[in-house]
Amino acid sequence: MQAAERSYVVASGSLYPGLEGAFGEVGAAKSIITADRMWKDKPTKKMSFETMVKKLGLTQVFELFVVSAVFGEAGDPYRYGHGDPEEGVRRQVLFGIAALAGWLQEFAGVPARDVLVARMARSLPAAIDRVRPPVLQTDAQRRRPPRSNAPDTVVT
Amino acid sequence: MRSALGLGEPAWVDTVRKMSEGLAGPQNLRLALGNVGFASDIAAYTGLRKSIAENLRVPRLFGIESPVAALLRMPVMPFDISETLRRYTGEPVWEFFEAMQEAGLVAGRWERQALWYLLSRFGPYELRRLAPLTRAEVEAVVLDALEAVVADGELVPALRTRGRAGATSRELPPHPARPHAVAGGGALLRGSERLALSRA
Repeated sequence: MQAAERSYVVASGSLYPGLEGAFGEVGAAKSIITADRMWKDKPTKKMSFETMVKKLGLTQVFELFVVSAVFGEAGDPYRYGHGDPEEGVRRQVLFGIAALAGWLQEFAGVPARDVLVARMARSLPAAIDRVRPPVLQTDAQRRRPPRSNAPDTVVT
Repeated sequence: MRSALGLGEPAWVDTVRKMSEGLAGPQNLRLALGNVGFASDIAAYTGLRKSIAENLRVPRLFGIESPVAALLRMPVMPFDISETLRRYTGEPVWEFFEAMQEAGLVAGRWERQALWYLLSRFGPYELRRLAPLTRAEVEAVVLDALEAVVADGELVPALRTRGRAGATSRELPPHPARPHAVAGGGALLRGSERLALSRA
């Protein structure tokens, strides 16, 4: 809910442990790790989150998104609470919500990612206009004849 | 499997079990959920082009296939035959081909990137709008669109409700001190509790 209110710093504090835990639960259910995140065959050695995710058998594109956009080097500063509190945390929380939608779609049978992207598609034209505002022509520009390829020099 | 909080077996465990048994891998799961987005558009494009080629009824000269029909059957056009397509198929289909070509360029640029996870579900008309943008601008557009969806006040509550319904077999009241932790459903809460326990 904090993300919906754009309180991204607060949201990241709960989103990261939540996501980590949700993927970890699947890892434990698939007997990839123990309940306390250790290697199944080496119960004294902790398995890194990224290694565990790569063993879950996710689709390649979802795995890449989770491991390199939400977690990994891009996400670690936010996972441990020392990332950029402005644009960076916004990016990570929004990507985290997309990953959560992917988790729900993959493991809970809820087409959350499809709904999310369908709604994003509706917001896309406005988002493009915000990022690259359309160039508005003045009346004078509209009246001006099209430029030719000839150089703008006056031959006397 | 019982959760750390003593809840019953969540619904998603069944999905994991089926995946382990090879009954419902991610691909099958996706098929069951409906194949939407760019992949199906590509399939439609290929199928459409094939059917146009088959319906051209260009006479075979001395047993040699029409070059246009042969070109249309190719998975990738070797050169721009937009004008030919426009002549044979009419404006709307030609526009679709053009959208597919531009979308294909965007796909080629992004399909090995993490953001393709979201972009791959856009249709060709959305993807082609991203064609003139730089990489940084595409990421900014994706984040802007994501933020608009998250902030509209519908999706996040829906994720809470559906996530909770899908992830727990018994209702778990939100913890008053940390209601946000339930946002993704019981498994998120259970997972974070387990994580907290393992870190303690």
